[in-house]
Amino acid sequence: MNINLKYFLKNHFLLIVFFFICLIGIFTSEYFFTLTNLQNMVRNMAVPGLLALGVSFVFLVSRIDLSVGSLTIFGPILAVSSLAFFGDIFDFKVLVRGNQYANSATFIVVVSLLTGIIVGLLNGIGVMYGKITSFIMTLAMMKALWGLNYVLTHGHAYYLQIPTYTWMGTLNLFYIPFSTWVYILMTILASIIMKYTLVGRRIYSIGGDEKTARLAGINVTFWVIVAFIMSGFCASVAGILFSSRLQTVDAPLAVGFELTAIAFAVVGGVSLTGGRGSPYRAFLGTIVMGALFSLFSMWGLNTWHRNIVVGIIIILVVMLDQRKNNFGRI
Amino acid sequence: MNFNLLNNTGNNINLLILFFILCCFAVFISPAFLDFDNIQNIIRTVMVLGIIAFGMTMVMILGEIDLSVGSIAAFSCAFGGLFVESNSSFLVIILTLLAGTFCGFLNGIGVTIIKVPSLIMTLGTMAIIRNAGYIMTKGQAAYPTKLEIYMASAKGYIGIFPIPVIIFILLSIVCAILIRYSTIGKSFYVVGSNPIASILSGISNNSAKIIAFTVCGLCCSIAGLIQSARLGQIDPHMGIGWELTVIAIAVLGGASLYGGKGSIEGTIIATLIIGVINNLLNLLGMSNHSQEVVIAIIIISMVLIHNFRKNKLV
Repeated sequence: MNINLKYFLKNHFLLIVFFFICLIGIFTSEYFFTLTNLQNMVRNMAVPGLLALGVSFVFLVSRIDLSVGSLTIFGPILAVSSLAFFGDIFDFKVLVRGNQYANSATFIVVVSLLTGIIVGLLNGIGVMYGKITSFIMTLAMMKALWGLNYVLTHGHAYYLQIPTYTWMGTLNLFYIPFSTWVYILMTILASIIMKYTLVGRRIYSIGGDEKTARLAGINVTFWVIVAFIMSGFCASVAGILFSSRLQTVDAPLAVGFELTAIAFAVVGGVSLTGGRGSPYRAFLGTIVMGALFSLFSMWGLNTWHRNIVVGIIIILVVMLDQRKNNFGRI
Repeated sequence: MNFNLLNNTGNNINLLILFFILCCFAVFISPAFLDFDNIQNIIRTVMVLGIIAFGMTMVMILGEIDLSVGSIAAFSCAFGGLFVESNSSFLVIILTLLAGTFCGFLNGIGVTIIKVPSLIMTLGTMAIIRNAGYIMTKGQAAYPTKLEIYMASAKGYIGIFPIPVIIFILLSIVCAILIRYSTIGKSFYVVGSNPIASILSGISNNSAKIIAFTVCGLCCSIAGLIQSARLGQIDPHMGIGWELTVIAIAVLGGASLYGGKGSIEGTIIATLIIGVINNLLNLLGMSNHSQEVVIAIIIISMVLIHNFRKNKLV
């Protein structure tokens, strides 16, 4: 029993931190423990949480993905602008006055998901076949998508106020927002995939030692590309939820999300060296950081302070992680 | 060694050929390219990034990377900008340079003594330093238009040469001498190509890295100073996204992401090439944001070519 408790404390330490942060919130702000704030808190966790989940797959194969931030918003933007482009050619109406999108919501969802998968595939191909270091490949991808976001929107925002699309951002099921349900479902699904299927075993073995995995006959190239595709997919799901919540897509919206995503994953205990971490760890990191962010909002600290804290936390956590093992290649 | 030098020169000659082809192409597309104003414009625009690229080249020779360059430029200028009211250019310039140097030094300490990998360290400081600048200035710009010497750093002339160009040339000479002929500069190559051998031969890897990052920080603050003097305002939003262009310049100039390679001469030519490409895209009427895409494609293809060559040689 004693050992069990010790084991529990070691593995679920972040849960205690989460409750501790909530306690501080309850004592320092009268609004923290209201239904609206808690709903907001879990809703705001969903988007960075999904990004962190995706990034953690890439971390598990000891690569890094910086392109998730721009990719988040790129999916909906590409969907709307490409449909507008074809609308001009084939003469059907897509954008009504003031850049208001008025067409099928399914199209946005499908194109976004496909975009995520394709961008992930491109990242993976660049890293594995082109032998480009993952951070340069994804940094270039991030900048390219960032530029494309501006090019495709011409610097204007697209407004997506169609009820068939916006319900995803506003609906509450049993007092919990729909986006949070999606996030929880994705986390459970990812946990099952990583624990009980071939995909998970292959990814963990590559993260543990890539050379050994290669010698053991595992197709490293394929599985690393799969990890990148999973990351891209998660980012595009996050993008759909994000844009349906804001009912807008605009190029400068998701700037800096990659940093938040990395921070969330790293805080949860997903190691940048690969092989250590799980979707559940990313989830723990997400709830802790999400509660912290909510607390900051309650205290009236703005994004600037928050970003500084994110930067410091990334460096601190990696520094502590460094003590445990030597850093490999990223 | 001789072979190595030859190889390096070969790379630079290739770059020069590329540069002239691009120039011919540009003249062919738009006769406006050869205007004196246009050429001056190219040099002034890209000089800022070129100066940072010197620092980045040193950091990349060591096998590290610095993503925080744009943030350091913005922060150091914002820090200097707090003292604009004093009406003393000297004070503002000194404080700007000191702030940049200090930020670079922090990066160096983080990478060496705290042992955080440079990618994560500078990714973190990118956020920390930029937002510290925002908080310090409350996000507002300062206007140094009354400081004559400060403004002269971008707009002044000595004879017919603009002062920023002179700064660029002087800095390139200093950096080239530092890398080529000083003991510490030579040790950069050793540390970058084989860190274990360099420790065993008695070189202090840590001090080499700290010096490279500090010089990089100093270069960033000089570049930021020129940029803010050129625009006539000290903006804490300056330099978002510079890191990729700077890395592109350094990689184009022959610096390897794996360390041990790179030269200041290559970086100078690469700076001019990127400047001409940017100008060419402007003349073609492409927007600033689509140029970002082009830069990304250039960097990826350069790394691909580099990898292809390496595979061929081995």
